[in-house]
Parts: sequence; structure tokens; C-alpha cells
Amino acid sequence: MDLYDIAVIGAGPAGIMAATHSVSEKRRVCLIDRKEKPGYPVRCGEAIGLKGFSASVKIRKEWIKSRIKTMKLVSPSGISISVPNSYEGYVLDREIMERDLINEAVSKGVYFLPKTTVTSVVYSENGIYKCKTKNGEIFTKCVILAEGVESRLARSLGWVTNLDLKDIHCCAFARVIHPNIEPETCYFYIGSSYAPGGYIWVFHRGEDCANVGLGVLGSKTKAGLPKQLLLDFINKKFPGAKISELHFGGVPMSKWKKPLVNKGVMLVGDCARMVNCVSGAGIAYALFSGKTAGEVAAKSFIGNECKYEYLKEYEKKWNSFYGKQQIRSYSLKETMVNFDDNFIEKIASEIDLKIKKNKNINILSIFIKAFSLRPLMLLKVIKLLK
Amino acid sequence: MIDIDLFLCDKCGTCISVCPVDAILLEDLLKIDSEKCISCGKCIKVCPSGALKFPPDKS
Repeated sequence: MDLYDIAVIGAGPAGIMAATHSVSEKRRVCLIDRKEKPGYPVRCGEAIGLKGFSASVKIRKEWIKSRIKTMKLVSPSGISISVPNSYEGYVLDREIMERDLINEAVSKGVYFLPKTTVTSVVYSENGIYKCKTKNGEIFTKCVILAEGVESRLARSLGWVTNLDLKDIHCCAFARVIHPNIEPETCYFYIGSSYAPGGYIWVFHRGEDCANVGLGVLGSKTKAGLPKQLLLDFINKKFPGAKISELHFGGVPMSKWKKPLVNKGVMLVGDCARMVNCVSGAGIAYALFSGKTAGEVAAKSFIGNECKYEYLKEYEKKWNSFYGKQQIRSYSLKETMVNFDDNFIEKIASEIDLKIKKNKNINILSIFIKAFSLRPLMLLKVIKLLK
Repeated sequence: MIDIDLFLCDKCGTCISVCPVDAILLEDLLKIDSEKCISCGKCIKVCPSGALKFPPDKS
């Protein structure tokens, strides 16, 4: 029988971290992925702040494609608000990062099982879970689900992770090469003409290259709309651009899934709906949740037995580090989806006026302006937080 | 029942995350279990590349 202590399903940032931080001489850990080459394609804008990164991983300079100095928010009519980035932030090469992190996991003793689709996970008996795959069965005492936005195995184990249409961004991602790409800058184009219920991003990714993508809210999209809007935007903004990658994906925009632990199963990353619902950022949450789940899982073994009650420590750690922040982001998103283009335009023009009067602005001051224009919205956010 | 354009499908799994009856499975290719599918059309709506549609007689 192929028996592991911990089986991690899904080799994205969350899964890789979970495997790396649970393996040891005593603990037999496998990292399973459907794909032959996990980490490709990258369905992501690849931006991350240093703070979120260094909470979990020591950053390597080979992973950094661009240092972000400036953020620019663009209104529907084209007013561009420039916000100096007061935090150290990067656009990454996730393909290289994940390749390096998988190699590190393997060198620590993780059994890496690519090209293996787990079709079901069931509790068999005596503290053993059975993972069915086409190539046979994998047995394990603890399961860490890092299966991404699909969250299908989680559902089969009792979690209700199906997303409402208002709680998903339907995304298109392109890598674009064009001389007009502004170095060290992240652009956000906000408004329904760009992306209904979402935004378009242009993140500089070294030299003449950028990640250009968009998310349309599930309740406001239709079949193929993200693809069409993205290609239209690229044609207009970067005529004649070379598009080296074009991929699609979903980003969960719901509250993280309680409980994160059920018996011997833990959820991490997108699978647990751990995404900042305002920015759409999920890498830092994925790295942290994977690392924390892995560490807690490793500590939950007494002798050769996994003590399920100890696994719950993971949820406590997640909740105090990022959990509350993520719930706040959801409440803000619920309010922001009601911003119409006229309102966005109004905020942009008032902020623009402030800048022309040489006043300092930052992201917080933009939110304050929005709420001062519509104080009732602030009450709504507070209500949602309760 | 839903038709899949395997050329347009990017195997991203967005459809799977919204399917209310877990009728969609992604292995090497996307598959929809016609016995489970209730033809609600959510997967069609959210597909970012437009790879899914109702068969001609239903649309």
C-alpha cells in the first residue's frame, strides 16, 4: 500500500508550501498535480507586495521581473491618478519561482507526483484517506487540498465551495510586448466600459513586457466576454502588440471557507477562497496558508498517528494573520460593485483636483474621498462586517 | 447538456467552481456528466473564453 502521512493535492504556491513545510525525516509527504508541468500556464497578474511575500518565503532576485514604484488608477473617461507605491512591490516570474520551490520541496524529501489527477478522496478506515487516481490509489493520514479555484474535491468532502456568480471574477490574462509599456508601473483601469464589476490591469514585467489582464464579475459577464474585452483593450492601447501568452481563469471573490479543517482534511489557497476581494491578490495568502497548514500538519502527529484536533490550530493562525483582513476586503467589494461609472468619474476628478493643488494622495485618501461622497456606503460596509 | 469547444477551452476550471451539481470534471480534457447536468447555463455564462454553449436545438 502506497501510504503517506500527508498528501497535498495541487502544486500551486499554496500546495508547494504545504508540502515543503510538512515534510521531514519522520513525515512522508507527497505533492500531487494533474499537470505534467505545474506552474504553467500562469493564470495571474503576478504582482505581490514584499510584506506579504516575506511573511512566508525568502524572495530571490531571479523571480523578480519588475519593481513597482508607481500605481496608476484610470477612470472610464481616462483621468489617470498616479499613486506612489509606498510599499516595496514586485511583478514576479511565477513559472521560475514555482519551479524553484518545487525543486526545493523535492530536495527536502517530498514525493512529487505530476500528471496525476485525483478523482476522489474518501475516508476509508482507521485514520486513513484514500485518494483515487487513474494510476492507482494513494493512501494518506492527512489531506491538504490546494486544488485552486475549482475546489471540487473539497465539495465532495462536504464543503460548500460552489461560487455564486456575484462572487467570482471571470478573467483573461495576456502577456504583451509593446514599446509603450511604462516601466515599474502598475495600471488599473476601473469602470464598466473596461470590465463590468472588475478592472483591467497592466503590470510592467521587465523591458517592453507587461501582464495585461482583466476580471469581469460573474453576475455581469457573458460567454467569452473577458476574452473579447481584453483583446479589444490591447488592440486599442497597444496597437500591433505581440501577445506571447493568452490564458483564462476564475478568481474567487468570496469569504474564506470556514471551517478550514474537517477531520484530517485542510483547505489552503484559492481552494479555500483566500483572495483579497478588492485587489484580487491571492499569492501572499496562498503562500502563508500553505506554509501554516504544512507546519501545523507536521506538528499534529503523535507517533505515527495524526491527531485531528491539533490541525484546527491552522484556522486560528490564518484567522488572526490574514483571515479578518480578507473578510473586510469582501465587505468592501460588496459595496464597490455598486459604484457606477459616473461615481468613479466623480471620485477621479476630485482626487485629480487635489493632486493639482499639490496635495499628497494615497490609496486610503481615495477611499476616504469615496466614502465622504457617499457616507451611507460606509455604514453599509460597517454593517457587512458585523 | 452542454457542448464544449475543446479548441477554445483553456482548461482553467472556472466553470467547475460555479457548477451547482458538480457535473464537470477536468482531467486531460474537460468533461461534463450529462446525467448530473441540469442545463442551468452558469458554466456557459462564466466561461472567459466562450468555450461552452447549449447545443443548437436549445439555444
